[in-house]
Amino acid sequence: MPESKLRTVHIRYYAQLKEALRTADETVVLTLPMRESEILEYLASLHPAQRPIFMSSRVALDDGYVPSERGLDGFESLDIISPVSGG
Amino acid sequence: MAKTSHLTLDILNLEDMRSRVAREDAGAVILFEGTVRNHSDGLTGIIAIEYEAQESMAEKLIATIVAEVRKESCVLDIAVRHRLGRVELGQTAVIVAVSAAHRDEAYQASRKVIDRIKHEAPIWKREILPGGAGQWSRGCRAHFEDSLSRINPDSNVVRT
Repeated sequence: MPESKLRTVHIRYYAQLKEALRTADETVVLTLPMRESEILEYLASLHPAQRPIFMSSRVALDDGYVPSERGLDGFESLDIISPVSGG
Repeated sequence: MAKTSHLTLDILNLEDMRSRVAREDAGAVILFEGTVRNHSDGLTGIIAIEYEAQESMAEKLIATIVAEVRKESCVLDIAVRHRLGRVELGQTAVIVAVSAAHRDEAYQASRKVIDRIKHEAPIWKREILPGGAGQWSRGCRAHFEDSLSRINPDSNVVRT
């Protein structure tokens, strides 16, 4: 089992989440590795008014979606991808 | 904005996209053009859409989608351009161009590409009303349901 460690992480937000939080990014301390759902739960606890958006979002690390059950660590960038609507 | 191959602030050109995929061995060229309409989910009077993206990720994802659909669909070529920024009512927001030896493969590949872009690419749209008020589109339901099923493993969702 990998050893847990505290890491300062820079998180980027977009679209409705960026507008609701009134910021495009924030820095938080996470205990890694964490699963995608744990990261979203943690961020929702910091911003309870935006919990529905966080709970319908996905985490992207280094420009890619992540497997939901894998412990996440060792990344350079973390983006919160709320429901997309391109096209 | 960084120079990109699939995302642009510029007005899209249908003929340019056709020429990107045209080949002598193609018996079919399908051009799908997504345009800004004046209504969405009960909201009427939309005058424009503002698109935002996580650009580097969207570029990579669209490139992956194009490569995967090309590989699995036996088409000759695929090109995609998606607008960012403000797109006025009636203007084109996205073009998917596909060439193939025969029309069936071209139609199917075009549908796959645009469906996957809508479900996967980190691109968002804000629907703008007269006066400047607007609202973010609710987003792709497949994305939402994927999140629900992840957080609640007992969730029994059907993807459309």
